[in-house]
Amino acid sequence: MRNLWLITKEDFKNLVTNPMWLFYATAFPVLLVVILGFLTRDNYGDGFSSFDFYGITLMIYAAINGGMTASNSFMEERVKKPNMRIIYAPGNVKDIYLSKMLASFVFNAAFHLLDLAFLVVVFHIHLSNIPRLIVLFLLLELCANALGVMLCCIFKTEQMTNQIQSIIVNIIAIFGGLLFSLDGYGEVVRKISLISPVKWVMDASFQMIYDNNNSLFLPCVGILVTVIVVMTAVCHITFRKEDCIC
Amino acid sequence: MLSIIKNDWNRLMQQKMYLCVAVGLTILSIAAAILLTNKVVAKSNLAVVGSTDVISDSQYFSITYLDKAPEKSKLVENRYDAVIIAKEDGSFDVETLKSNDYKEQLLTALKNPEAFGEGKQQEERKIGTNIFGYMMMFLLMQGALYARLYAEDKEKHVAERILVSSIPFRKYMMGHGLFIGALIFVPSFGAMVVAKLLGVSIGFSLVQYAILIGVLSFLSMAFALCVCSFFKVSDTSNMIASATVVLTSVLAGSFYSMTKSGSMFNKIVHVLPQKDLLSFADAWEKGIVNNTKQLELFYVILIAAVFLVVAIIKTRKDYIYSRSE
Repeated sequence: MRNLWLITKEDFKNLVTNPMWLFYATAFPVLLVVILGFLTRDNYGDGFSSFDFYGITLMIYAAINGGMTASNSFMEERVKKPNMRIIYAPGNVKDIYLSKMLASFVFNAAFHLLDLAFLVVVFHIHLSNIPRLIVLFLLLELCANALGVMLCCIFKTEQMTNQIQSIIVNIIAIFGGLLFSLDGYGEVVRKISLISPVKWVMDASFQMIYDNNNSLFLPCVGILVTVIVVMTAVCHITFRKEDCIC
Repeated sequence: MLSIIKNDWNRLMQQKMYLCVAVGLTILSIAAAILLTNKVVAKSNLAVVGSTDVISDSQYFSITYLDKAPEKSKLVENRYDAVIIAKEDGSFDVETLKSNDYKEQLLTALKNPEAFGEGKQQEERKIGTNIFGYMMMFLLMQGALYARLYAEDKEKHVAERILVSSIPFRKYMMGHGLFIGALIFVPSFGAMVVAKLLGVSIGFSLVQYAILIGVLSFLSMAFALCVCSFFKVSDTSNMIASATVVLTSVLAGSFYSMTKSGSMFNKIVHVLPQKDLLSFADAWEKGIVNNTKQLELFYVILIAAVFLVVAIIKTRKDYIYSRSE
């Protein structure tokens, strides 16, 4: 446990000191929300603003996109050698991927929550049921990071993971209606949209915020936790410490 | 130049699984685009509460009769554009989160359904342009990802070695460019050919697609090389490029038009090549290509060429100084 803590701390430092990732975690989501919010401002009336919609959906998008940090921090050039040292050191090699997952989770979650707080203050995004929302959001972050690490463990190379992950993330985002709502496009499209897991998270969030209806909360949490456990298990099976030798 | 292309090819062949998965996912995302566009029904969704004959389904409206008003989250998620609540005395209340303009339009339409939507036909995009719009973001991202072949050259100091060899600098970049462009073009165009053969309606003819996807691949490749030429580490350039692509594509309305035509924003957004390419594709599909639209296509090609030239100049500048390092 102590090893895990130490490695996670180092990984976290590695993330925080990279300006590119700081930009990606802090400015990028805010930019997305602000730009899309301003552009679609005229589509909504007085009681509800475009920021109320995009503030939620695009933060979900930022959360699933944040998984890219995990896969990048796992196989980045400058952590390859440290990883190799760890496999020679006494202790558990599982710490290598668990620490990456945890470090990028903490990194992303912290900055995204800050972003969200900023947006809520500046654009008065309507929120309610906040503790539950945060739980859902954090689980989604963890899930996205677990996905990144899992893909790294399976495919072994960073570039391939990047490519595959970015396609997966964008497909589920578009199908889930995060970038623009698909619900208005007829029955068939609505059904297709339900395939995407983020659609459920989005439904759950909006129901909690606007209807005070928590019926989707527990199922979502359950599914996310299961997915996280399964992904970690896949990491455990596919991770070979030989891959870290460079 | 050929040797660069051959070398790139060999490098990819060493990771066959990578290539298969990447190409497979590209095709999957295009298939998804076609599927989604073919199923889209662009109508206003209205929920009617308390009556059954306020307004009938039409070209513009899809009506759902409900016993009680839908939850607010359904409105937020755009499931219903508006809720019409019929009162005892025959008048209605319209509840919507949309703008007052929309509410006015709807109220007019309730009184006179035929008048609604006149002149709307021209603005709607057709199926080919929609498919192309969906493909756009994915293909632009592909460019950023395949450009790692070049970024890796820089990262692992292969580039320095190549540049002291007898290969002219221009040809080195062109080789990478051609290869990346082809990697983007071939799978996506292949997917369109298959879709056509299967008889799926895809809007444009294959020749038109070849030209549009060709221009898009060129843009994607040039942009990716340009971003890569500014950064030493491939991760950084990759992330910058994909962040920019997502932001600008959504902004340019590659999924659906965000900006109203004629507004200030719309003019500013025209700086983005995606917007111009889409606008050209739109005009082409409707058969109303005029000089302005041709200029737009020309602008896209020009921008791409500028990206490429910047990439070449920047890299050349870097390596003339750093060769001795």
